[in-house]
Amino acid sequence: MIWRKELFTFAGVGIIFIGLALIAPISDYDYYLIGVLTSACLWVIYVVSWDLLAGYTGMLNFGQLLFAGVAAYTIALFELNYPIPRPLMMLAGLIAGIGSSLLIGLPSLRVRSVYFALVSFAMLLVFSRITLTFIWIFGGDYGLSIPRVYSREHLYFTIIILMAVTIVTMRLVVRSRIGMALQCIREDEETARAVGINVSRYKLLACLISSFFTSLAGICGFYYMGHVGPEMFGMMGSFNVVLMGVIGGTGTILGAALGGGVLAMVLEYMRPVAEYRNLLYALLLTVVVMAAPRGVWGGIVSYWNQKRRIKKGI
Amino acid sequence: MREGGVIETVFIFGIIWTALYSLITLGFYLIFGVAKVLNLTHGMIIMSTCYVTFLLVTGLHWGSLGLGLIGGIIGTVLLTLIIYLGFIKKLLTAPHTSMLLLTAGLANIIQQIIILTVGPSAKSIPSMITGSTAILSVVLSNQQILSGSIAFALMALLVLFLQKTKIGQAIRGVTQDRETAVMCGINAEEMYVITIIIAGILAGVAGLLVAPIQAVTPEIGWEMMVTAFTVAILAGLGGPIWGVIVAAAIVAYAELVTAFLIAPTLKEGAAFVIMILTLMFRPSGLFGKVR
Repeated sequence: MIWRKELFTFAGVGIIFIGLALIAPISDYDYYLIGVLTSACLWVIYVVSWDLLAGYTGMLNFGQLLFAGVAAYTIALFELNYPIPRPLMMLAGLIAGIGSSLLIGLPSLRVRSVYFALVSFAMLLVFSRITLTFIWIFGGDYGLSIPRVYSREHLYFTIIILMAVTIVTMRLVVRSRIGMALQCIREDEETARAVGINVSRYKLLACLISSFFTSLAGICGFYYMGHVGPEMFGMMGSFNVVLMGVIGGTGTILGAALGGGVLAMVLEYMRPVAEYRNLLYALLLTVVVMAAPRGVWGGIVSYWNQKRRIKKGI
Repeated sequence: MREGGVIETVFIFGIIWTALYSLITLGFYLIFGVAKVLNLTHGMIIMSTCYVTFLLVTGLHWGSLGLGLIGGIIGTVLLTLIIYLGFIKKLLTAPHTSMLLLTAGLANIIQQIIILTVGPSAKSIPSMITGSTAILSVVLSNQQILSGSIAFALMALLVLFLQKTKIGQAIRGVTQDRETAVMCGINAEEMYVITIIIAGILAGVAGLLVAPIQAVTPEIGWEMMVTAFTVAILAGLGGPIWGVIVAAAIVAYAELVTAFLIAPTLKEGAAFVIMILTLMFRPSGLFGKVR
């Protein structure tokens, strides 16, 4: 039943997926184009995972890239120091990424979700400090680099598959009982408790799902770039995730995907005015929050619903 | 003059940073208590005070440092009023995520404007007074002593204001229970504005006192924000002002010990550990009444 309701989503994701898969051979594996698309897909995964926490559960995460950064650093350390089989490395990275989400998830369970934002934010600051302090382990400002392991083409296809899987999974999750419980928690934690929802368990579950996909994207991104640096723990990266989610529209997953994809492209083509980019983004965020709190996608959906209602004569 | 030992140094500097951390926190703490708004711009406001003073003194040649300091405080109060009346007030009834996003956006705007106009490099503000004094064989600059003393004096004034005056009592009333306070004839809206102005003054003075002691970069806004948040939740909401001072002392000493024993760059890590432990084991803080 849920499959039929989500037909629109699946069709959309399918079309975009096929389009992305075809672009690569059509453009004769143009590295610049593939690079832009890869990073856009990674942003989409980050933003969609962020939306599960922020849009559905009300846990505003200011440090989404932290999970990806922890996963990537873990793998980089294994690649450089302990050459164990690659699948094991990836598993370790994934576990580390998910573990880092517990670090902000657990302290926020007993308090209102408001605190989650500041804890996630403080965590980002602490991790960037750690990478910059223990230079002999984490490489300081330069980060860690490894030689290319997988070809760009392979990673490109892996990442677009991961993106499609992420969007579909998230959509299914939020339409299931889990999604209902999360939205209930977002609206009113006390009521959620009163109707028998285990608030702590669902909050942790949201953290785990979100960090799972973010870590996977972080791992793929690391192998694609062959590099991870402290900018993963920088303020602006995670702030961009928040911005893309808010502009796209929180609490819909699809809006987040749209915002992530489009703004990631814009980000790429705004390189010439890089120094004004952050200011522009902050202004944009403020304006959207003040004027259109539901974002672009929210606006589209409400317009569509209104039209349908007029058509039905309600 | 002999250099003091580590223990004396940590002890003396701990006192000064306790005073400054309390002052950094109090503005944020009052707004959080009265209006229930987590104001993420607070750190940036403190940081911008430093820069406004810096520009007034060095860039525009306002002559004496005193005028620059007054200008810095007035600028800060105006900035907080603009932020409150122009933005925060419009979203007071919106979901809390909107408010967090809004204040985060504003904080980023302030930071980016300062990076674009003044530059990202560290700036130093001239000291208000020169010279140095040795206490317990620890050499302190007079500026550090002055900053600590002014901070303590201002906090004493604040406590007096909150305890003795009508307005102060009204502010405490709104903090404890807004509905009842409104029923007793207190204009909550007016108290918000007064609290915002007080928070602005506190932030301004905090900025002025911190600026000559440490290098000022656009990054310290976020660092101060994390410090203020840690101290605020450790003290607990709705608690007494001295609770904030005790919490500030705990955070300040933890940071100093970390800085001395492990690495100076990791001092925020100590604050973070305290933050996590508080949230996990005592979410209402040490002295808090509201959860």
